[in-house]
Amino acid sequence: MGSAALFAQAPILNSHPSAQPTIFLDFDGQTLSGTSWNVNGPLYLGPSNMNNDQITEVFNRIAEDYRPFNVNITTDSSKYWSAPARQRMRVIFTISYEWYGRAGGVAYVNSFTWGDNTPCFVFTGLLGYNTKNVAEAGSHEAGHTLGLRHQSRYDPVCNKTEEYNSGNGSGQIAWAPIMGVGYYRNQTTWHNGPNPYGCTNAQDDLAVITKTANGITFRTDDHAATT
Amino acid sequence: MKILKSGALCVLLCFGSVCMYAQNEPLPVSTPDYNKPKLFADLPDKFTVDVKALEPLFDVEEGQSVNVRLTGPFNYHGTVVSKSSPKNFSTKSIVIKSTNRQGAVLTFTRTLNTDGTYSYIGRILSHKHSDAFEIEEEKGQYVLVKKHLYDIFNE
Repeated sequence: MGSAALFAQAPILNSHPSAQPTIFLDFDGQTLSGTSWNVNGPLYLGPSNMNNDQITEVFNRIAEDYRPFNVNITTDSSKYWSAPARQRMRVIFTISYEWYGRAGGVAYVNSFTWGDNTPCFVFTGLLGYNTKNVAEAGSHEAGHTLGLRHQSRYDPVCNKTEEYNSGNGSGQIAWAPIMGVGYYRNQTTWHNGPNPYGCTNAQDDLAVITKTANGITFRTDDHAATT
Repeated sequence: MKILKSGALCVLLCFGSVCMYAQNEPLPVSTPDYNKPKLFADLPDKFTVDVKALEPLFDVEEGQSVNVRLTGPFNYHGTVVSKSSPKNFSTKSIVIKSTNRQGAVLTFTRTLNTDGTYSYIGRILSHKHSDAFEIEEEKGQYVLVKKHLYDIFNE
């Protein structure tokens, strides 16, 4: 995982610094109070235990997932605090999972717009500090805070076969939806597919992310369509 | 020397096994349990709530007990387990763990808007039960709306 010196200060990274809506990737630990996570009092969350190279890769992967949107993915807490209170989310990457239980991550749906600094979590140790898996969980949990449910899979007669659609294929061209489970496929994207509530309940991830309440719009296409 | 060599080989084999096990440890992906028991089956799906009447909750200290009348049939008794930082002037939150709805936690938050008015949000939920309530603003008043747990929380 790297030497202690590499944990000293996470690199300051911003994907789209001019955007107001902000998703802050917090790797250095946090003390939490006054949120719906504080069922048993204050939470003292340890750091991610990932080195700067790993943090940078996680950042780059999550930034790529959110590239279509006017949202700043950042590792700079000052960007979080200067963002509008109802257009920001802190994703806490932490080794501390015992207070919750075993999961890759956890989030409150729509909490991006709550305005009360409720964060979401990624439990880095349970993901083996694997940068791809940690990044997948980060994009996934941030997606929940924007209002996304899971992308599920159903059989031809509408029986749910997977709560988390695990995607298709193998090798470089394997794919899974980000709001399914992307740990095992090389490529992951946003998706328009059935959510957990029924095979005809389609969730258009792009539409949910850009719903008015989130204040997130699509970035201008730098290469216009041609006829 | 033979013993040393055998010992070293043993250590190497054990280390290799541990590494392989670590690599093969399944990743934590758990399917939600949609059949958890309900906690609020006796309550209506929606009712109005007087958020102004809840304002005094922000002055209750951690560890103190409270009795909150949310609506006619719904009295919420509990203990304050957490509050937001007093340094945050624009947001006040209080977290109350229930003693009469076991497992439930009420979180009530007031935020200061840019125009000087206040907005309120909150929820009452238990991760061990399938139903929950969320405070929403509707046509100028606040209501508690019953929801499924996984409408509010997800892994």
